[in-house]
Amino acid sequence: MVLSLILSSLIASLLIAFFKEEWYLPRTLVNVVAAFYKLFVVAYLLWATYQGRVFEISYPMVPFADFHLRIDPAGLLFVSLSSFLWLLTTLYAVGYLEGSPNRRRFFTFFNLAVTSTMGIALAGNMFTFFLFYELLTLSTYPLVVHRGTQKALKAGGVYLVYTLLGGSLFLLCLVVLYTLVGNGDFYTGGNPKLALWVEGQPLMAEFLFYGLFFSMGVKAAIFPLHGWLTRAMVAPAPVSALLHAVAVVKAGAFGVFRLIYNLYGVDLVQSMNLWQLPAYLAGFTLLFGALMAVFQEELKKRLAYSTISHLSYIFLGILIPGQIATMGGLLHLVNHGIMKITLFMCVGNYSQAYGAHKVREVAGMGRLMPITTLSLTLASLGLSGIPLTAGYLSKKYLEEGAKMAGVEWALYLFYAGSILSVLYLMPIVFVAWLGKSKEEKRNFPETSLLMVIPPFITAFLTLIFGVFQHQKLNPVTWVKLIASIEYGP
Amino acid sequence: MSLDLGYLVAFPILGGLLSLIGRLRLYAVFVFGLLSCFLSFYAFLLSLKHGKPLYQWVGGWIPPLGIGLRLDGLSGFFLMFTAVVFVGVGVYSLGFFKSAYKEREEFFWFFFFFLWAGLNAFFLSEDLFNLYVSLEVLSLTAGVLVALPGHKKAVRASLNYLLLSLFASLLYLFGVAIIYASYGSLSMHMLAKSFSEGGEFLYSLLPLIVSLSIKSALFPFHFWLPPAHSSTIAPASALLSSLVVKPPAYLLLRVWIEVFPKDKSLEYVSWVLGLLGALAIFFGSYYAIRQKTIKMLLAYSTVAQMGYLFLIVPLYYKAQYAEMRTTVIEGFTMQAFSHALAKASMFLASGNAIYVSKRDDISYMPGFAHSHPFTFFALFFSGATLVGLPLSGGFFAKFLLIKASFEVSMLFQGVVLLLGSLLAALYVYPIWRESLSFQPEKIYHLPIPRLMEVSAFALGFVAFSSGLVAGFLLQALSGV
Repeated sequence: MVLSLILSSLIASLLIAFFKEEWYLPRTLVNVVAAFYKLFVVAYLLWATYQGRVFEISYPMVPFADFHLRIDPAGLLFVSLSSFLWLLTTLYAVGYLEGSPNRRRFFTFFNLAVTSTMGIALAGNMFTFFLFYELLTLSTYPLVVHRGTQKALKAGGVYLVYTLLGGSLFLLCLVVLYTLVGNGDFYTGGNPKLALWVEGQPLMAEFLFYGLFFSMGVKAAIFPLHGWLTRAMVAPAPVSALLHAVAVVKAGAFGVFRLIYNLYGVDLVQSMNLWQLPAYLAGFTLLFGALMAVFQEELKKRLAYSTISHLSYIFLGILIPGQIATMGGLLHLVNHGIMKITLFMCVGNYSQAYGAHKVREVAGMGRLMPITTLSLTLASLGLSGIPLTAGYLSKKYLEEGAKMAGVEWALYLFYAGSILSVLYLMPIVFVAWLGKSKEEKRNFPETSLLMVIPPFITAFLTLIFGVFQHQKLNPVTWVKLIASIEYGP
Repeated sequence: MSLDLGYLVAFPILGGLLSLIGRLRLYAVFVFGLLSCFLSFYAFLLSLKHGKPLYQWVGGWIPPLGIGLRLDGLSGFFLMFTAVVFVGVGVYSLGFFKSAYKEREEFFWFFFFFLWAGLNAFFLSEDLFNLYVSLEVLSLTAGVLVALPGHKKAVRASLNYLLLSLFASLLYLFGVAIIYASYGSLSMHMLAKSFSEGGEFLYSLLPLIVSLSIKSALFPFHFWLPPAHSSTIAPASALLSSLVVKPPAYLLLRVWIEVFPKDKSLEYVSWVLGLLGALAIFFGSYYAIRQKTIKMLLAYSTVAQMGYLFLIVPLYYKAQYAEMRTTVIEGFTMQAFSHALAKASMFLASGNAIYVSKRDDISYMPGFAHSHPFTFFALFFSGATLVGLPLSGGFFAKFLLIKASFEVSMLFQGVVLLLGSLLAALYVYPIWRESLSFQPEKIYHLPIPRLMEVSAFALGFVAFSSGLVAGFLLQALSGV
């Protein structure tokens, strides 16, 4: 079960590597079958894990560390998010890349990237986590430079510099972890061996914590390590959508979750006050990203800065002690993923259909591409935290959490972030609906149906998750489960 | 399960001889190539199962008269990956000689097999003189492989290499003579006993160490390597750069851990070697970054990657204590193994690039990822292995070695290892960037023979994914 989550996309990746470029149908078939299969497995696992069953697999890789995969509620949250969005993005990518060269290479590395994301979610110790974390770097690099233009190549270079330096720091921390502590396993409530070690060497423990935090921070684009994300926007839209809005940056955020909750343990992080410095940094990033986003003309850049800002919501939620804040952080991890992927897909549609890349170029899109613009509007409302959307729900939890923990400044930052979100998202929506353009309306459908439906589904989900917040199938249920596990009943 | 270790040497020699007969060549290559490969794997599994060293005396003559062969986890591992590289390069050559250098084919196969035999003999040998003989076989066949294209540049590189290599061999022989004169034996396990009783061993060991470092191109003796490895044909470059420089470093590890006494004077020697290794990493990478042609880049990268094997020599000194030894041996072996496979794949893939573009420049390979995806995959995966990114074997090597350096608190080694992999990223990156760049007017359309593409890819892929089975592979070393 555990392995099949990883293998399904790995096998798809390998198969596609051997398919010829012009084998359009078999490639699409493999892609879609693998994605659906994974979704079924995830559905089963959700049910089984809710019943309390544990899935685990491990074998020794090096004498002191195992290759360890296990399924716990937190990992499953990330798995279900990414495998659901993977299916949609795959469909979207099939439509988006139609007729363009090198689809074989694209889907090979795309599936490899998803494989690594699964591995990150399922890793049962820091060692396995690191393996997949770095594999994600490696497999996303060819995707960033997919177009092969000078600009793309340059962005790819910057991406590698950031991630490889981050990776080296991570490696160093990993060696420290496995040499001095001797154990990097994830436990509910923290690794007991590590807790024992921390008592003896509190200073070293602090350094290790910050080291690990910053090596995750590179992927999560926390200030000042965010430079790669905005540049990586030269990648094709599906890559920006899935990887840079969901998989890569969330892998960093998820890593921080593992670090705090399953390696150090909440109690330790609280008692040593380890969360404060990262929280200040996240707070600054929140404001910085949102402010930068307001001044971006280019749509994708604006969304990238918004991603930077919104990741800090997640960080703050995870960092601020207290069950409610944690729930808010995790909930925002899911909701932001769904909303941001919608925005990226919609923006991709604009540029694919009418070549609109800048804010003022989307004028009149409401008339030309109504469904896409509707999806964009819903997601924008959600991201700004308007009531009855998923975004409102997660922000509400975050604010409650900050209030309960007595972290006043975070509360104000959340408000400021929401106002700024309105400022940088609503202009797009207004220009799209109310602006005038000379373009002739093309026939329905607006562009390939494969590109219109996925963002519509996710936009719709934004609404569903927001309105039906007490349903059992809402992520809130799951997040509650995680929080209750990590904090104890 | 038993195996006459002599076959591991005899079969490749037989294959080499038969390949000289024109009509039999392909059959000989197939049959003996497969047989030798099978035997090597069998030997590896045997060592894995056996757990402790297996000694055999050729012809039943016991030392000090006879020749001792020894198979243990370490030599089994080296035999195994030598076979993997040879099979990969062999498959590549089957395609390669159809398109170029047809008149060189018969020589190539002959020396191909002799090189294999020499390597197998080297890894199995137990006494210092026998090691000398196989080292000579290696140098001579390698010299011929360097000169194989026959143009002036190659011949000059080959002559330089041979002269220097002969000088190193003489040094080695000199050291061996002193050892024999003072201790009356050349067998390693006998020497280990004699050395521990004290004596003036340092004078005899120094020539040995210098000779070995010349032969494996340790900085500052590296100057012969780049011209020699870059001027010859792709399959020969692959063999030379991935395998021929490894045995001296292997022998150094072996004698240091098994034979050399734990003496204070040797600690200084170890530090000198370690510093030279660090310099090799920095200078090799620096020159690799500055190269414009891909083969020179790869050759300098070999200098840098060999540096790791010397950088960790100070760890050997400490490793004579108990369980530390295993981590060092594991890291060393993983590094040798993954570098061998990755470098072979890199050279083969660069051969593909040169085959298509007819040029050696890195800037002449735009769009390889578009026109020849398999060559790109080979460059991608083997490049990642050289950098040491997970899941590659290279990552495990670096991780183990950094961990070992932390455990004995020699942070210098750990830091250099980390910097080294960042530097490796700097010289691998131009290759990736150029092959991923896309200019529709510059795309090459010449198809590459299937065997050439697949073998380069397979080696790179195995090098990369070997990390997944690292645990299994490393089991072999637990008994060493």
